[in-house]
Amino acid sequence: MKEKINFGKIISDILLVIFFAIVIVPFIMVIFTSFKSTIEINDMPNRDLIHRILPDNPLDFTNLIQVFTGTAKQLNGVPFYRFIINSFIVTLGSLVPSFILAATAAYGLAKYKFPCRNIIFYLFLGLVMIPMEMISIPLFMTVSKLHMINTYVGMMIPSFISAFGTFLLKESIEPISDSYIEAGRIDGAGEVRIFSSLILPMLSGPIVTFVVIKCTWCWNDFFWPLLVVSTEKMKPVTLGLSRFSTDLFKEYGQLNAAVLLSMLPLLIVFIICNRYIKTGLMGSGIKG
Amino acid sequence: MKTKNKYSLAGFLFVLPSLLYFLFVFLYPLILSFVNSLCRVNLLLGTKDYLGFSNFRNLLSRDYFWDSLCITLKFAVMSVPMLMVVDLFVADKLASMKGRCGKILTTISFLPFIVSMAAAGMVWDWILDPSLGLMNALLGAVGLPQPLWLRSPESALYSTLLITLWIRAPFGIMILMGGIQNVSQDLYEAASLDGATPIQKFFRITVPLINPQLIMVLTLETIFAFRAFDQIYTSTGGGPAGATRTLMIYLVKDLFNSDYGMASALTVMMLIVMFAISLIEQTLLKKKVEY
Amino acid sequence: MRFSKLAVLMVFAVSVAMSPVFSAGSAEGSAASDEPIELVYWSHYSQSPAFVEAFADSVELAAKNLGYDNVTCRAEIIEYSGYEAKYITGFTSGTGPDFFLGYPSDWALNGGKNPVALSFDEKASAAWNEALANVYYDHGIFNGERYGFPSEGGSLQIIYINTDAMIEAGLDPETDIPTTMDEFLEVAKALTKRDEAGNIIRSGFQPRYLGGGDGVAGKYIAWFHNFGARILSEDLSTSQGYVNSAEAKEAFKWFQNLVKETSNLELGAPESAFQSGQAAMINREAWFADDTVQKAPNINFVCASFPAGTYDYAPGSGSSVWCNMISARTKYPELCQEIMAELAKPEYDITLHESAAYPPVCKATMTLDNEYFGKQLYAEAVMNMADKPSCPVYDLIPEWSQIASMFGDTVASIVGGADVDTELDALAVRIDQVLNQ
Repeated sequence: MKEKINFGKIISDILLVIFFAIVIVPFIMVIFTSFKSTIEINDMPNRDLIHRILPDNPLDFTNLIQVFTGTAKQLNGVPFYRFIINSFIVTLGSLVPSFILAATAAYGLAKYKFPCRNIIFYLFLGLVMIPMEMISIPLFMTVSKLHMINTYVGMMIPSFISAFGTFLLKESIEPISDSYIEAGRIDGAGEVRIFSSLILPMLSGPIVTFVVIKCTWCWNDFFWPLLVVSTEKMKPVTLGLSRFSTDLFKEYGQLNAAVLLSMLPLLIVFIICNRYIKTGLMGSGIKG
Repeated sequence: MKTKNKYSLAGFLFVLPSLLYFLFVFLYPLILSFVNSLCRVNLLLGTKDYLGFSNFRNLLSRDYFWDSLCITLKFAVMSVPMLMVVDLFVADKLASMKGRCGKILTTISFLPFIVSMAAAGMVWDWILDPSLGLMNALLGAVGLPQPLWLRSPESALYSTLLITLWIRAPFGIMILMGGIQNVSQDLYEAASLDGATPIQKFFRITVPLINPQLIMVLTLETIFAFRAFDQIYTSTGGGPAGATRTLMIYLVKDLFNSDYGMASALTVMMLIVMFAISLIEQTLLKKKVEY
Repeated sequence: MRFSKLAVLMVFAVSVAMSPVFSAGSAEGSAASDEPIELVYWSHYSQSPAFVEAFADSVELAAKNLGYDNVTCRAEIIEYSGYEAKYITGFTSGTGPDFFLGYPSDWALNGGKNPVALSFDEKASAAWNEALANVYYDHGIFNGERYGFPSEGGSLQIIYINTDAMIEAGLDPETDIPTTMDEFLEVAKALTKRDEAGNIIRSGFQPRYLGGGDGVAGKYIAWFHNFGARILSEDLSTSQGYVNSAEAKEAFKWFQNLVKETSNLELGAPESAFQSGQAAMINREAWFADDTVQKAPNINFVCASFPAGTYDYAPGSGSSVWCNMISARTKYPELCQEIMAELAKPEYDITLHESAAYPPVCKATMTLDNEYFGKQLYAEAVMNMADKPSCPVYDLIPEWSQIASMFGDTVASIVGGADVDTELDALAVRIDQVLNQ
């Protein structure tokens, strides 16, 4: 009996190790490849394993510097940090409005009964499914009539709403006992006040999760900014990144350097937020 | 306990801003998609001729469409269960780890989440390159066979599954872990006293109690599987020989620019199917768990 | 309490973020003002930003030479993935450019009442008709009218041969360049290198088979046309009896055999295989020469003309070349026409192409004693092909991009070993399903 359990544990540990190897190896390769020259990369088939992984010159920052400062041929003088700043503005700008919209809607859907509630919920759920590519063209026409082409607000328009955020926060608010709300009402607090000073503070875990997920999605959006922005110095990171992977050219060294630079800011946000995520996505409050 | 009806107006007002914005941004384009699906649309001329259902009929008569549908279904049928199993397994393992090591591993397992789908496609394309990439170098060093990965029609779709697993797993793990950590430790201790094995505890306690999270992950992963695009587009472009041409790639690459009406028809069909599947998943699986 | 801190942080961050939002405003539209005129050029050649800039610079130079000192031109690079959607939305909403790069068939096709591309006026058409080399003459013309001029002489497929591999195989890079299809097969076989187990470790010839079908099609079509095969009928109404004709089957079988004998598909994309020395021959356009010199200085190679088949067409890709065109929505149509006419002069042919080392398109420039063209590695190969008749072009129908995808997917399957006869018959059915709707 005991041996059998240990045997199962060994297998599951091995599987876990494989999983983590798969997770971590691409990151290591991105970092290492950033330090490799094209000539070195083309030489790969003639090398042994160690020299295929490790860069010949680990202090060769040429790729990173060229990408960061925009001297890389593909960037045509527009420094990559410009793209990072743009993404930063768009991401931060979408964060608060989308949180307010998602949180109020989630609270309304989770804690009140009113006609059409379920229909509205499924409407939001349906929203998650719509391929952005498909609604982009009509949406673009609206945005262009509002003269928001080539503006940061124009880039944020579809991000102000977060269907997934609504979904997430609704699931987190539902387990919170109604007795809190009742108690608040007995104390004479208004509905908005109950929401903002009673319910929201209970949601710190899900809110951090919301922030991380929303940041990630805004940061990594490609198709919408492609349509809305054409001025070089307004473009976000994703558009800058796509310069390095066209049908014709794959300069893996610079590509990986660009990927690395595009990930770094999110990585920092993620590491800062990480310890708050640990309390879990849903229901940090008391279950009813 | 149910809230009283006199508060329903307040509830509606909470939802209203979001609803209005939703109508502004999404509903108009959505309705337009439905209208366009019934028309021959020329975006450049701005013309729209009513056709009835012939866009749908024409689409359904194309072998090319059916191929794409098969590929999408194959992708969904393989990727969703794979993701569910991996997510559940890793989340359970991580939740049971105590101390610093567990925290660090949890952070690591979330990492791919911050990478954009497009970047993931590019990076994996590089790792899986049969002659220049790392993967086959590793396999070769261990003496295992070296597949062509993304470069052969036989293995390309499976390779995109690997990329999808890498990029999507953190999301599910994150959600499931939250659920698992909220399960009361008392239940496990009581079960241990009754002599339950870890496997029994997992299936009798963990899985039923995180049912809501499981349904959420299942629903979202199904949707993402159906609209899988970026990671496939940047790694294979739908090739080789169309082996990874999912419906979304067919839609965006082939139909979108040449026949907007038919592209709308395909969108409408995809939306209906995805919506139906998620409704079924939501209603069939959502059982109230009492404890 | 951590939460309230977070909230303060977020509010602060947003206020910082929002401040430039409104100040940045809309940069475009300001060109309408009286004195300085700013023209905008869109191009999706994101692989060579310098080439895109060169057009804007040439426009400014042309304007200056015409006496307009107040005209500037700004190039905007559109990311290639999704550029068509960007163009459609830009043009339909009126936020598009003054000049743009594209296929005339895509943007002149829907002409009529609401054209996207403006046809050249008499002076500009005459200037370009006069200036273009024979092989590029048809490109930019749609329904008998000129809408643009080819952005570069990049439509012709060139054979790249690794000379070290030739010497290793006992061939002379001066005299043993293959000129016919049979010779090509022979040379490819000779250049193929195998290990003891018989596995190919260097492809004699490496085909393009990866990626989307349209890209695969463009690289294969020249081989296909060499056998006298066509994808679609002359009137572009059907593929039945064309794409599955005896000639087509012969072409595909020849190519399948070439790949079977001389290629290892594991080596991946032909470009990287060639630049890493793992493929001895590939076919690609002229730009690849300079690219190889820069990225793989250790590879010695020659550019050769595409081998001649029973039908000796110029080795095009079956669709038009990317052309520079004028947007019908420009606020300055006369100015744009004047500039386009001016750009037909030979001196601009060099300023337009020099920065990226792309081949020029004008008769006057395409001589071996031209100081720009003559020193390009591909000069001789391009010269030899420039007088051949143009190959069939299919992109005059809107369905072409879908058909090209299907055709390319079939090429990739056949390269992978699928049965030629059944694949081509199935392809003909599929193409006609699209054409007949």
